[in-house]
Amino acid sequence: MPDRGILIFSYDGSFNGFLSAVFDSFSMKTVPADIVIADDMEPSLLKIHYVETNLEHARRVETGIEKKLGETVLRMVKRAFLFDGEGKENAILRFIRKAFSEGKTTGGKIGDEEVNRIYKMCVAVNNEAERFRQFTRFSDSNGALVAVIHPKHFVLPLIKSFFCARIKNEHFMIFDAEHGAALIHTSGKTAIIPVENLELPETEDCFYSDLWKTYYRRIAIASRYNPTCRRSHMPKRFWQYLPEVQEELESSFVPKLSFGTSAQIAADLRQSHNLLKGENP
Amino acid sequence: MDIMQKLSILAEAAKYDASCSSSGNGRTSDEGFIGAATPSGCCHSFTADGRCISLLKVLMSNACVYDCKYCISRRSNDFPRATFTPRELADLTIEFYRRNYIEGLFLSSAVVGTPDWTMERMIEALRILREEYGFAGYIHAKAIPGADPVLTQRLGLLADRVSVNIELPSEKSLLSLAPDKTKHNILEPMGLIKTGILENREDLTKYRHTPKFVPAGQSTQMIVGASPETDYHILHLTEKLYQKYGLKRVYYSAYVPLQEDALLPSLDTRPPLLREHRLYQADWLLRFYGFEASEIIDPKKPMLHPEVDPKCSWAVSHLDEFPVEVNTADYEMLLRVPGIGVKGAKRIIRARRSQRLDFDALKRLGIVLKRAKFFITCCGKTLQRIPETTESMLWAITSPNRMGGFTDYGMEQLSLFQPVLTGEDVMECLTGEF
Repeated sequence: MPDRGILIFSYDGSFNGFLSAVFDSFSMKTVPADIVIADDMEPSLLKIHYVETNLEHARRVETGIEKKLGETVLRMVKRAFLFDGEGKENAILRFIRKAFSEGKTTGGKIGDEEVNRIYKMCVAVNNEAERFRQFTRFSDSNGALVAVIHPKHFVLPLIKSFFCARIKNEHFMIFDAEHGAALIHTSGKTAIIPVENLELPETEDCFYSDLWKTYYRRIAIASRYNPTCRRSHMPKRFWQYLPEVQEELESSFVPKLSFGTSAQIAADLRQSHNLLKGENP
Repeated sequence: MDIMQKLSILAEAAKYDASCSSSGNGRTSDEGFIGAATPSGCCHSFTADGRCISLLKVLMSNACVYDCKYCISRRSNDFPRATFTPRELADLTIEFYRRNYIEGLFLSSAVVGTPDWTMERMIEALRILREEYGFAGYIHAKAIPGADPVLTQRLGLLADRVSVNIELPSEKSLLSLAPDKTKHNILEPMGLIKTGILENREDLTKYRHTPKFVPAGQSTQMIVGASPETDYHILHLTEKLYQKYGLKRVYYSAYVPLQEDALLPSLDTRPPLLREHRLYQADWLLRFYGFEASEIIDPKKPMLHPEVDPKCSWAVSHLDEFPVEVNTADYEMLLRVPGIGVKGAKRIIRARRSQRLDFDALKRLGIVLKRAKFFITCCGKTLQRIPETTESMLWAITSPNRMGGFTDYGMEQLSLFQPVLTGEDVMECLTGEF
């Protein structure tokens, strides 16, 4: 029985570092009480094992997972590692250990508690990535396209191919302010690089964003006004990126519709129609 | 007139077209200089009414020669008119596209002069986009009824999806409300596109570099609530369109009263949003759940149940098929359980390959048991007592948030007030999938 609970692993936060920690867990025949990133570590009474990032160990773990446990498990491990939340490393380590003892089918056991945890992390990461494919907005700064995002999870690797396929001949940058990294694409080459602090130039890209705002106001049908539906598809935390809803975000604009008599409805509709058109009632 | 005013007028005129999907075709970026498309599509924004914005949806022009009674762009309506030049439209699309506002363009038009002339302008805009700018993003174009078949063919080679709107679900309504359009005029291009797609598919198997014709398929739209057709009529028509014309989608658009006319519902009529929602649910059953129209609705009750969705409605009248054992039922049967959708059924199938599922496992898989619990067993056990008759089942399913009685359906609830759907209830119904 491995000796549980006496050790904390500390690693550098990289995927290779984490795989090295997995290697150490197996070679030391121990399951750590926690795996933490060295920079975030708080003083603790528990013994600490400093994991050294070792590329050779990392490759051995990766090929081991791929060969013995199959692509599904490896994909889940990689995807779940992009999750940003406490205890993710430990959850993934437990998942890997479980998979090594139960075999290739482990990836499919999504009804099982431990596997389900990883599965949910993967779903959360995928969903977040999809949101940023939808709601990332670029502004044109002297011909280069710039966007700043604050995703919950580290989604840059997942949205890379989407944007590179769409605007391959542009120079663009997506700066993930939450994780201090940027996706940079220029002259056909793409890279994700760590960026600590970024001073972004104030962009003056109003012409097309104003056209877009006008389009957005015009395309809504006032008599179908349904803010709940909009919020469930486009939660408020994404509104900061969207030029089309800036005014509503700032002025807490609420065209209210009651459901009273037909005369009231008609009056409300007219009022909200005017509001949607951007005119004063 | 500047581009801002044009956009403003022509977006306003296009907003009653329900379709905005960018799905059905994958395009790689190798096909051009800018743009790509994914088969699942991508919604880039949502309007204040909760509808998805995936494409820049505008009319080429709203200076119409027709006089359809329900339409905002009708000839006799006093409304500002505008027309884009093909170049303006192409530039606008590219500039919106590179800022990630949209997935592509949805281009429709009022009939300016003749149908042929209108189509030529639309084709010119698409040609500039595809050939000059090398745009490989998504394009949905409306075929104009009455235009030359050669033009429809040309349009189909430039666009991903082409659609022709049926507008009104019967010839009689078409005749009274849209006197310039005929059933033949609408169905002819639809048939052309269908044969075009089939021939193209055959050519593609022979020659790899054949240009693709309408690769994302065709769709159509019907207005609901402007004319007296029942849901029964609409759903059977929908089914026929899927079978006979191989349509990818049929859209329903709740009628929003814009004009005063003796033949139309009065101006203060609210758009029948709940009815539209139920029709979409039924449409989903036809396309993804293996239902037939005759199972969903019967001629004796020609309207869909306002209180429960069509799948639930089918389930409560087929109680002998339930409960279903989640560990052994096949995929088709799982899909018929109220509360289990396509995602849920697939997760169940994946998870049960390696373990037996109990109710806790179902919850972990994200299956909502609120309604499903009345229709399933896990390892032979039920979560609670299952009602035995249709009436008690309906009561059990709807009781937590009842909206009124079943007056239309043979069950009277004791109530001091006339049971009506309140606005909030309608809103609640609509916050689901659109």
